[in-house]
Amino acid sequence: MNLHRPPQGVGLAVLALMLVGIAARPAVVEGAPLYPIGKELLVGGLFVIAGLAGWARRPDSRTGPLMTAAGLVWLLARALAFTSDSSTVFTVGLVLVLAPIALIVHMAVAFPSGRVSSTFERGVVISAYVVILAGVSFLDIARCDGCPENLLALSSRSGPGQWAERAVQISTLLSIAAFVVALAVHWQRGAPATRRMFVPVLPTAWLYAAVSAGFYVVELGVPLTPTRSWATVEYLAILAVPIAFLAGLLRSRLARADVGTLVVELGGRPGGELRGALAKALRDPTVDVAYWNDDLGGYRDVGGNTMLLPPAGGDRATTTIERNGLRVGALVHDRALLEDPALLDAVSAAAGLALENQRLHAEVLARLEEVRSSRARIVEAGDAERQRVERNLHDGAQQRLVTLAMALRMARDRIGTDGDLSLAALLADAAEELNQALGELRELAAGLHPPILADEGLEAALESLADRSLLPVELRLAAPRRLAAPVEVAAYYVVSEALTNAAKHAKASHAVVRTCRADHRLDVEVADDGVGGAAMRPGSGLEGLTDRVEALGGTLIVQSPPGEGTRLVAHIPCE
Amino acid sequence: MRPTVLIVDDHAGFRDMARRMLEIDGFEVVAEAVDAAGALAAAQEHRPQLVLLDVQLPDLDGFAVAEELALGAFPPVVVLTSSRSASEYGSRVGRSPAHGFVPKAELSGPALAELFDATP
Repeated sequence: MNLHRPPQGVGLAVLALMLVGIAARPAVVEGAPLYPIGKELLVGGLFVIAGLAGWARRPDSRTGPLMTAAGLVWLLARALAFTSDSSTVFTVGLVLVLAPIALIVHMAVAFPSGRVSSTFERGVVISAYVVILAGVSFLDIARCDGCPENLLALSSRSGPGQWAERAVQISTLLSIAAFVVALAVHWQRGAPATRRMFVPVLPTAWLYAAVSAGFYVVELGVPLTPTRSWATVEYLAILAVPIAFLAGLLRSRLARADVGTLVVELGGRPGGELRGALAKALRDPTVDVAYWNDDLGGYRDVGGNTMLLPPAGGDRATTTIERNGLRVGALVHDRALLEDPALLDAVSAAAGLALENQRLHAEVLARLEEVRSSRARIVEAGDAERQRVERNLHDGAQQRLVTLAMALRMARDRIGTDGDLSLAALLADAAEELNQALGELRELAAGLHPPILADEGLEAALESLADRSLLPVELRLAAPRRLAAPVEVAAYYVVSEALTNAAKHAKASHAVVRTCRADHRLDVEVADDGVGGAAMRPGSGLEGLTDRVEALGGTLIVQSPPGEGTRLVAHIPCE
Repeated sequence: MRPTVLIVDDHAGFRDMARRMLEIDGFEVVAEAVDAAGALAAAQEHRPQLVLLDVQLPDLDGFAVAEELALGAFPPVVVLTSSRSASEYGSRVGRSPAHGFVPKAELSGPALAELFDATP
């Protein structure tokens, strides 16, 4: 957060202290009454302190500087008006006495940013400056005995001077009325965040306006008697002004505490409802999130549709969301929120985090899906290759060797009739050796990819497998319908690998194969009565099976306690 | 009279060797075919008494050809053969109307004659 103390703060505070010193000198050094000047200096000091504090807390707002200026002008006016015998100095001091009121009007109408946003507001502020600075020159407000002469005061209280005075009084009242209306409009048009800050400011400003108006009404001849308590109310009202403005500025910091909640909320649920959380933090139920898309070169809404941002200058404003210097999205919100750029900065930073989070989340899911499908593709490519090798063996080497075996048998039979018994025996041995080789080749080819699986389905293939197995196999098959080829192949290899292990490593004497289909899932189980102790080792057949089953989104469970046989269960999703 | 035989296989080497073996063993090979379509045409034309039928053919498989042949007016004795074992085809061999299965590695005139003679 951008929270640095303005470097000029110390200098301004020292300047304020000097002014207080000058203004208080007559009372302290010359024994003049302390009470009236002390009362005045308290107001000025309070403005300076609250102004500097607000400036530090909200460096982006002009309210702090305006309030500091009001305080300094207030003190300067007292320092000049009460300490010099020179008429010129006294007159300048008088001009400055009411100047802080114009600054207060400016502050209130432009609150909280300190920048006026409409022609009407600008008019109200300018008329306040004109009426107060020009008007005071003609009104002889400091009619005190022993004071130096007000050089600008209209000496006559009759004739044209009286009319001028009347005109100033009326325009001052009109100014006050415009000020009251401007505040109401400002409240009406303000976003919830602005209103929240405006809560302490509005009644204080209205109260002060009402009290001031009271004096002018009396001056115009309305029979009201200003009382001592009236002056007390006026004094308390002006004291309340800096406190109310500072409180208003600090309320925006309270609003910013919601940003902390926002960050926590968004962090807790990466796919969460971003818009709702942002609306809550900004207190703007109309807020919308636009997602930047690099390929599109534009924005999309949450549903992925192209989204156009509102044109500049309308009721809706746009704040770009950046992450690491790159545009990731935009907030479309109530224009009034621009008055609190620090809040917008904080919320858009939080939104940037959330968008980044969402993007990473989606990326991880996409990567995961990529890996999953590439795993499936690898398994499928392997199967296709095994099928191709089996076909090549069958069409090539197996055919030629079979033909060769037939030729050998024919040769043996013919020699047998001619009587060369040793040659006949040699040929018979060769034929037998070739038959053995053919048998092994056939088993190898069948293990690579059994054609029956594609032709006849899983049950037929498992029956064939049980037939050829080296140990007795009991089949309990309950999945008669054809399934997707990858599912059948995976189930077949689970059984094939399990039966091979049972016979070769587990020294089992018996195995049971079960299949069962339920709820879009094929369950395959192979249990043997061997020695158990089978484990998933890297590069083992079981690991290959796990890859195969998991590539289809399934699971493979191996239970093999030593001495209690092995149980292999595969759950494979299928339609 | 020597029994007439039709040999159906897409491998020329096997057809050649089987013809020589069967002719030595007392069969008369009246025709050869390389695929299912050729086999059905040759059976129609030559009316062989016996068909030695490879399971794996480029168009239809041997089981389908055996069914077609069994539906004909003069159904021949059909003996399936393959470089694979019968168990690799599961129950298909048993369900087929073919009269027998001889693995190619065990093919001989006497083996065929036995199946032929056993057929009424």
